[in-house]
Amino acid sequence: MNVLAQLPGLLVVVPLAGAAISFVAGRRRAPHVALATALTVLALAVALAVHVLDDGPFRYQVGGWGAPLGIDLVADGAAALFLVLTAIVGLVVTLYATAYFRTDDETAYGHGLFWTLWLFMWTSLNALFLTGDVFNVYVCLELVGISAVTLVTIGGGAEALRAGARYLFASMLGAMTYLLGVALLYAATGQLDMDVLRTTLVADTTAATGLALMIAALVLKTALVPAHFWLPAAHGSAPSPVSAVLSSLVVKGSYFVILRLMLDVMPADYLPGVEIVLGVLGSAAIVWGSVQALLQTRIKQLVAYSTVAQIGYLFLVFPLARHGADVLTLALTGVLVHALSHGLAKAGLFLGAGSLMTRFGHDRIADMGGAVRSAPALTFGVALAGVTMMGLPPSGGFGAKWLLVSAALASGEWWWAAVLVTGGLLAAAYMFRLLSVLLKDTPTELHASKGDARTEWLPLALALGAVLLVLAIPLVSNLAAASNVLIHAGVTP
Amino acid sequence: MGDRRRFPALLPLLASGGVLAFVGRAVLALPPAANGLAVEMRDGAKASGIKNVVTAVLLDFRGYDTLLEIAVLMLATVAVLSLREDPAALSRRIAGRAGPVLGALTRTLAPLMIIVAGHLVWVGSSEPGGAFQGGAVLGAAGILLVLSGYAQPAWAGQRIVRWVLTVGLLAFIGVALYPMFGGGSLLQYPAESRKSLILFIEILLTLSIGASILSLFLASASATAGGERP
Repeated sequence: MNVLAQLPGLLVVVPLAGAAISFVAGRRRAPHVALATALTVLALAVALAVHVLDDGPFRYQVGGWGAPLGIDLVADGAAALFLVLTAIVGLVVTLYATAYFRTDDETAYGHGLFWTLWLFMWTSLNALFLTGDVFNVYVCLELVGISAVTLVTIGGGAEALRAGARYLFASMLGAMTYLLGVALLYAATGQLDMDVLRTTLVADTTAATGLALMIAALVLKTALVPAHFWLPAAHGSAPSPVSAVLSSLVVKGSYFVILRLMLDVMPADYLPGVEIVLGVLGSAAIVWGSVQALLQTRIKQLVAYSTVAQIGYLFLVFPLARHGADVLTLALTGVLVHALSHGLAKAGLFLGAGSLMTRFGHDRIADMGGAVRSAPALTFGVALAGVTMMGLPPSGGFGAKWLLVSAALASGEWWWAAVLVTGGLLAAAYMFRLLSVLLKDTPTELHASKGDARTEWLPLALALGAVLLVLAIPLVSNLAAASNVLIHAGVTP
Repeated sequence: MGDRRRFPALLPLLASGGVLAFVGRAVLALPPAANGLAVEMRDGAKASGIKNVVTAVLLDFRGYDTLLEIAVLMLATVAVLSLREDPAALSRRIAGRAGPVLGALTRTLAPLMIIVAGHLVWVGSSEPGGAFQGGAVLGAAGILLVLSGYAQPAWAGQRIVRWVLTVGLLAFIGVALYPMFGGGSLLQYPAESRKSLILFIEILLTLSIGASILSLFLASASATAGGERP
């Protein structure tokens, strides 16, 4: 078996097999299955990224039929980047979860199924990043949606169930709207493959309506303001490893499909004005999410609203993409670096918040004084994650903002740069509010028994990764150059 | 007060009305006849040797979608199971007792349903039928047997039940991986064994789909029977 050529298929089937095996393996052996799967998927994802960097993007025909009849997977630089991010965060979350979901806790029945649900979610994320077929996206969204909603409710409790139910309705509404859009698009064009659509799409009311519905549905799934109403409750009340995955990876799955549709599949101005609307909503998200984060009194709510804000940055690429190849390259590299640095830092923040909550036994920010004294590594991790959220140098967040500000200034539309700077200042405000309490030098009484070393060091590892990402920006820009968006735009030869 | 309650209902109403008009306009703009991929599908079905185009689309051309849909089905079952708080309470019998009519009916129907399920799977390659239809009938037979007291409801905490729920997906994954060792891609069935491999997947899928339906029924039934009782 030529493993390199099979990587896209393996990246979906390996975690899927892990999910199935973890279900029959039973409560005690499931964590081992999950760890083995996580390590394998990380190796596969890194191999795919190296392969794409060496030989450029390639297509993978599932079933050997090829588009338009069959389903093709697309392995390009952008996909490889999100797959690697998912694998890194996935491995760390899996390690963290072995400490968080204790296998000897007999009362927590749902927890025994965490591993299966989590591997199903991982499968669906990988599938979403790789798919080149607009209907297959729907199937992936279903898998992501059901696994995400169930993982929110797995800890039990009325609050989580309420949040899960609301999440389920939003998720279902999104999936159905997306399906309606695909039906219209297929009725008008007779095609489902993204690459075939890219080369054959002509002006047509039905096709345009279909694509508009698909993008609206994906915006709801990505929780872009004002469709963010379900996010803070769901991400805030889920168990912490789940919150980390939801905030750092799941919202990016649907975002990635928007990126493909907007910048690769649709010709410029196919849906006139949509890129401006997305940019304006993104800006609104940055301001609104940050202000809300500033007002929260509970730690995970603060982190969840910070996600609402950080999602906004991802949408600034669309209005900037209209300004020629150079600005597009800067903006795309900027959002990819942002997706990576936010993914690592936000997972670190949620895991850190979870560790603080188990140590303090509550989630009130005001009463978390003195954390630095009893859990220095943990507090340091949260602080480092904060540095990249604010975009302070040197950090991945700084690199992302630098690239996006450069793109905004080069485009001549300076107001996007103003939004970026405002967002950084607001992020500094809400992160300092949290850090000023954690760094207080007051003696505290903690639930020392819950202090597993893993829960202290893993958030720090993720935050360090987000900071060190600044060194990997050349690598990210090579991957961006190997993405279909830039190749089809004629930037990369 | 009445206005206050009517106002929130007005917004979704307007929103869905707007979407309806938007979609309606798009549907009316469609040409009267569209072939989609019908020609490619017919040619492909001829090439694959599976006469029923629906089965060819589901398990061959777009077998990848179906693989993930099977994952959705299993995931839904796992999701419902994860919401149960007290597994011990769920293994309590929810079975009823059959009166003479239900008993006689079940004794006649259940074996027949199992045969029909098998038949649906077998004819799936050339006529309407297949794993989903067969599994639905099989699941219904199971529900009938439990309700009339002929079968003890097994609970998914039990290892054997977990295996039955998973075996379809595992078989599908195995068959999907198998062509990779011969240089093909995922799910690229070798031409000579295509039909037998698809039948193999369909049979095991039928078992898992039937078990999923039965589990979902038992989980919801025991939620109302066990949960509300003082």
